[in-house]
Amino acid sequence: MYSPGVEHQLRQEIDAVVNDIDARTFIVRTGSRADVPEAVGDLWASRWGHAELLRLAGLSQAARQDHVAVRVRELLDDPVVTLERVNHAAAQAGDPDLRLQGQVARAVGADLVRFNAEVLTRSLSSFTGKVRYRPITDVDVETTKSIIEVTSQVDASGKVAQLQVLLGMEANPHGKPVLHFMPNATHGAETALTASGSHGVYRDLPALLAALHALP
Amino acid sequence: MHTITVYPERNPSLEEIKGFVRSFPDGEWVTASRGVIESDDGRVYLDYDERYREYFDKYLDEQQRAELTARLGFSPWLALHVHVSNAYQHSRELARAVCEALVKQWGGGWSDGANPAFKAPDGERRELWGGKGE
Repeated sequence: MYSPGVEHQLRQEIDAVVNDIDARTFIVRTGSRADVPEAVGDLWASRWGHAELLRLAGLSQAARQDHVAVRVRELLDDPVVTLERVNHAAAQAGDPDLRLQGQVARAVGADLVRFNAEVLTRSLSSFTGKVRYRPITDVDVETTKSIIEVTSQVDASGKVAQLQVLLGMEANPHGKPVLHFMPNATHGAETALTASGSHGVYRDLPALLAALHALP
Repeated sequence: MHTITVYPERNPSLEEIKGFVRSFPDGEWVTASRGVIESDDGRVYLDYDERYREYFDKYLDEQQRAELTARLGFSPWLALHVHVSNAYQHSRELARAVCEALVKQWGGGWSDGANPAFKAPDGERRELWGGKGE
């Protein structure tokens, strides 16, 4: 999120210097994320000053996308920013799923590696010839030894397919076990997910933390 | 992420669903069975699950299968899972629009996995279901 007026100003400044809607969208959307507090959104906007935008304008379309992708990752994976995003998410009373995700990330403490992280793939459009970065999934919580899928839903419908993405090379290059934190999971959901490769389905934080500590 | 499951009445092919995703201004097919649709402040992933019937037969109990079939008016073979990204504020609104568009095109309905849809009382259940029967 941004403070009032900041997003509008950022859009105008980008459009004045860089004639690239995709680049503008990529930059602006990052600061407007639901898990980005205003202070972080404003910090992000401030990093795109005139000199930086001139540099961006001088790059090819592909190089521009690559550059923005690197900058986005630098921001979102920064440990201090990650902690601020986690705390912001955990305080979102109006968004129970994001809040639950933040609470899990906070509970894992120093083991946290990534929070609410999109897995981006680089593609070249055969129609437009443009390079785009596209997300293939969101990783809710990643620790040093695991990936944790967090959901308040009851059943596992759709979660089995999602699990296969989280176990795949692009989202999980180190082959970390995937655990499910599902406080409302039915027995059927637990059976379906564990049979499909989940390391385990946990309904409360102490049980989840115990499972994480037991990982080799 | 939270997941909403759409059960289409007329089973679309994978190619048709790819076309559906790409019909959105910011929609793209990104893996063998998954597309992503984005808006300015929303993002959803859409999975084409042609193996849904296995899940239906194996992990739903008899009562759940009967309830789902009765509610839909048909027994589902295919499911389209709409995963709602928590990264953006209006992903839920985007997800609802996507579900409505899918049901408009291929019939059927959707269920919200956050609630005990199969066992909820009638008055509550109406809020948990979209598409056919609303």
